[in-house]
Amino acid sequence: MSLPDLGVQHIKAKVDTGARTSALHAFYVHPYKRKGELRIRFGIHPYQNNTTYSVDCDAHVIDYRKVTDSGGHREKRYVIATHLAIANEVWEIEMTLTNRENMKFRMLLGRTAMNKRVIVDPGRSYLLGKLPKSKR
Amino acid sequence: MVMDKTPIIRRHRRWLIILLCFVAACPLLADEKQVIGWVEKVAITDHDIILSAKIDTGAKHSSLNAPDLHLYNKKGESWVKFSVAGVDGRKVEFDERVIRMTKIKRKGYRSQVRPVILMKICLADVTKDVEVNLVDRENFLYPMLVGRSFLRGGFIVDVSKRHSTKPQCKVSPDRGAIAVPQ
Repeated sequence: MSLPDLGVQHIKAKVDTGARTSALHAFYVHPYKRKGELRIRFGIHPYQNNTTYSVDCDAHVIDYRKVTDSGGHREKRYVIATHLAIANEVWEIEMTLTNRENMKFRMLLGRTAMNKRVIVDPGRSYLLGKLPKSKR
Repeated sequence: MVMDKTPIIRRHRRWLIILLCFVAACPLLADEKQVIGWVEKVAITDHDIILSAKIDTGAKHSSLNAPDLHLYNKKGESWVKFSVAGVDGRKVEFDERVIRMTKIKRKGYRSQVRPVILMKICLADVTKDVEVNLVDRENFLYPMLVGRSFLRGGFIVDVSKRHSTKPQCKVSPDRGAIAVPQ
């Protein structure tokens, strides 16, 4: 899938019905104010196992809220709105920014983003294609 | 003979196309999977208990919340005792053999070691023996998480739905009929 607003052409995401909100790993986050509006600059490494290629992003912060993670612990995370493109579909989703550096997937696609848009077949992966090896 | 065939094919082309479409659709029909929501009731069939479970495609295996789990040794084997409350509030005691210990990797925490047991789980009309890891966790909304090892091949998850099925397994092998809420 891709995140056109953030300049991310390809990112592999884990489709996670166990998570409410979607999450994107950021290796740095710098919140700042512009004309009274809270914005955030952050960096992501869209490719798994590749920390040399990075994309710097800038987005409007829509919320800063407490999110409960899989371990039952709460942490405050910045929330942004961004478009998500999968196959021929594009729609806007909410995404929290977190440090997922030590996890396999750089993005989690949660329930709110999938609601009434997609259904999940847990037995299969890469249904909408895989990036050719040369590009990974 | 060869000269004859072409007109026949041409004459029946429409039927051939319909037949081909039907043949092509067959694997799709045979591949029909049950659509479920992100929260469903599951039955642990040989313990006569029904639980609310979160359907978690992000998890490889299933897990069960067992806040009072107690590991002990029985004839050189590792066993575990714990209790689980069903949707009707009834507590059921479990005493199961631990098949292995598993390391769970979690974001931002030290990895955790959990006992794994085998359980017969029923969701909708599918019953499977799967590995379930036990977690001692207090604040947990759903006592069970059903992961991909159970879901694979049989289900499609629609996150806009909740409680769209009921466990349909009628009989547990060693305890007779199970009460299935209709």
